[in-house]
Amino acid sequence: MSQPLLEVRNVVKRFGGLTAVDHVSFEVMPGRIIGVIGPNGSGKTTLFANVSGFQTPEEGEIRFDGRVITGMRPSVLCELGIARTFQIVQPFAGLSVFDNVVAGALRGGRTGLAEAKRKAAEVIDLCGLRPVSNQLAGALPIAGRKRLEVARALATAPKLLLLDEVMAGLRPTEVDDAIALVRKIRDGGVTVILVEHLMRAVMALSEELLVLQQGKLIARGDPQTVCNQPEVIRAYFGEARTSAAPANAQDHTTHA
Amino acid sequence: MNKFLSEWNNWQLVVALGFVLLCALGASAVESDYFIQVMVLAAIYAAVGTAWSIAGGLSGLLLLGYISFFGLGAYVDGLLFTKMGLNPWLCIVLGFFSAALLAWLISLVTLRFGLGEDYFAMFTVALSQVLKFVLLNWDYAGGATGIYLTVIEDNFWTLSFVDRKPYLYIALVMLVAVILVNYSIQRSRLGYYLAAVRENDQAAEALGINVRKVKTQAMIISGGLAGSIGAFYTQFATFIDPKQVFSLATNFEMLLGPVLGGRLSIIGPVLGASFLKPTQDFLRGWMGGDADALYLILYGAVLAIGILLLPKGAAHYVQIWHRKRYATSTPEEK
Amino acid sequence: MTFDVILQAVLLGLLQGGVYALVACGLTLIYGVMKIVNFAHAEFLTLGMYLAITAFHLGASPYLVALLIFGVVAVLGAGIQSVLIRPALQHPQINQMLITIGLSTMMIGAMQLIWGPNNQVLKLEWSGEAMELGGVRLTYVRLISFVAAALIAALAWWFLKHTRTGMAMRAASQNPQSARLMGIEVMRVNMITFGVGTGLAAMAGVLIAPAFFANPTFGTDYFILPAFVIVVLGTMGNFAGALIGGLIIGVAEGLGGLVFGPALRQLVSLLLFVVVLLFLPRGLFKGKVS
Repeated sequence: MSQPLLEVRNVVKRFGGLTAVDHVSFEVMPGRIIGVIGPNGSGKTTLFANVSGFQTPEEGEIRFDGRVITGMRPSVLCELGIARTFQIVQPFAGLSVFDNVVAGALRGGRTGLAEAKRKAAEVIDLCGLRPVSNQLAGALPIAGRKRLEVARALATAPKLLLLDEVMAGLRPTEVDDAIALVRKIRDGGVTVILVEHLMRAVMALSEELLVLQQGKLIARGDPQTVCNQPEVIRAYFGEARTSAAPANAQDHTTHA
Repeated sequence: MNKFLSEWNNWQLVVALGFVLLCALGASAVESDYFIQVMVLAAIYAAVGTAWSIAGGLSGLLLLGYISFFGLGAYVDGLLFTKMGLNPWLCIVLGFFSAALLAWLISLVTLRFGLGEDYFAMFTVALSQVLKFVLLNWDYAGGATGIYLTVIEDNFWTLSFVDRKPYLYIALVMLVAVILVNYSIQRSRLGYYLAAVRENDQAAEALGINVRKVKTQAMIISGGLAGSIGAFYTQFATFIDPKQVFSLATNFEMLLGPVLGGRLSIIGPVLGASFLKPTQDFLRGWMGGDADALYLILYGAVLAIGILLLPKGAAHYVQIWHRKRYATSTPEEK
Repeated sequence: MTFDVILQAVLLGLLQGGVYALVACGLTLIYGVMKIVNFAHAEFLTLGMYLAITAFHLGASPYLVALLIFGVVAVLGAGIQSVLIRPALQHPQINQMLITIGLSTMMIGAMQLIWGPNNQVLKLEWSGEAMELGGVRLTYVRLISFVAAALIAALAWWFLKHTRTGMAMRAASQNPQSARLMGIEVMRVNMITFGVGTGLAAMAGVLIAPAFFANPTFGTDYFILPAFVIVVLGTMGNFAGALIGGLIIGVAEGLGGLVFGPALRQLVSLLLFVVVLLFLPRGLFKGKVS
């Protein structure tokens, strides 16, 4: 099966005078973990927003599983198999962790309620959320909420999972747990694209790396090779050295 | 049994139904027509409040102008019964459908992307006053004079009774029906969708939930139920006019029950209306005509302060108690 | 329908529109800064009327004490904001709306208690006198109310553009979080905004007191709906929009009364409201708040 799961062709996204995503093209093969890195404002989150249907590109085409999905709404894309987490976590704060995941497991109606509850329990176990299953999502600490975000998206049984800075705000041990979780998810057959600032996680997980700068894709390939490329070092590493420690993810920093 | 009750929704259902049963039994002992009348109105308000909670509570829609549906149902019955002799029971059904249609139209127009909640709220309020205005000036429907029903003898078939008590029993049955609808929604898939949309509609969208469709469904059910209750109201009150059934004051009164009682819960609206309506009538009667001003001040103060003190409604605290009482570790709890 | 009649309706509508604009400005200001729909706004107008009437009965000309009345109501408004509205700012929208509705009811009751339920009137000696221009007759009272409203609006505009507090209000209405970060005390600004907004409504009440019968529900009966329409039409939160919108609605109502008859004047506002909400939900200024 060598057909790419996701094809992004020449996508352009503009906001007024600013071009946030500038003719970006790449392919993602099924079963891989792809990392996307780049300095602040490079367009990573905008790219995610366009792939997951929250924004529509001005130009270009996006194909998923061979099918053109440009401009389709997020709920439709979820049915097709694309799930995402949000950079600033968006839990259903007033519902329990369990109910949060059930909401995802229902898959927009494709799964019955009883089955969804069973599936939700499985996903909760996989993500290590069993101890807090009955707690209100709003009461969880940041690590738990990030985990819940992933669990909820995973419950929709996606083919492609987009993780938007899931490591931000986590302590080192939590990061290790998160890395292990992402691996488990991929081993379960889900293709993962993760946007990350934390180099340790990116290097540990990515089989392939994409580097964005000011909306353009400036490098792609094997992580070690890419990181040694001069333009990448110039664009990104100068910043990354000073921000090696995870930033406090509670404040909303402006990313493109 | 304990397992059944450990779920908040089930516990609420039992309590609510038990309460209604108590009222029904208590009513058989009451002789005062006035008191029965108050109880019927309380039951109606409770039913309207419970129906409202589906859109305004569970879905989180800022459904401020709810009386449009009630008034529409009232006039559907009033007109079809008096002008065409259509059976009132059928009118109740038609009241449901016409109000549901109105709800669908409103959703179509206002639940577009990018239109905020405030606009939705103002639109629904404005619409209720437009309807009032239209009916005030529509002579066929009685204009400002309204519609009168004449009741000579008891007739179950035409939902007309000389005695007030049968109305109470029917009202209680309607209340039970609405409670059951609310309950089954909360336990169903739709309930999950509504809760997700209420909490965070962007995240809900990302999980494959069609936010607009789900909100529309809630509106249709909620509006339709109000319409059927309105239709019943006409039969009970035997007189309706636009100022009554499209009154903004009544509109906000009807929202008091669920807001103070707890709009996310099943028992909230019932408790709210059962407490507020009789208290209101009693105060009004006690304070008398000239002291109407005092009543207004007191009422407004209770509303404002009550909401400040109980932002989530009284049922929220009951739920906290319930959670402690039935604390378990199985993932089945909602 | 002669040209004179139409001109009369338009000019009268314009004069009325000026007063509408003043009321709407206060409402839009409150919405812009606090994001709250003040359902009790019309009651502050009624209060202004009653205070003017009382002042008159005590021997003072309402126009002279206008400023005093503004001050009194503004302080009252600020106080009400601190007690009733500020605690609820973190609560759901519907709660906030219902609180202002409760406030509205309380104020109607209070005014009825103090001034009684019957109509009150402020009859100046020259209340009935008018200016005649061509075939058009415009009462002095209405002319003064328009001019005064325009002056007050201009003053408020200057206040918003050139004083620190005014600029703080504008900043808070555009972006409350950034405003907070810039050191603007949002709590204080909210309080002042509510005071000023309700004060403006009261001023409008003072200006129209010589022309209308006052009763406790006067504001709600005649002014709240046009005020809402104007605020939405002019874009919620947009001060200039409220001014322009006020004039437009005033004229529209005037012409509507001419076409449909005086009893159906309200219909124009209602229909316009529904139409605006359907087709122009962002208002004339497409969501921009000045």
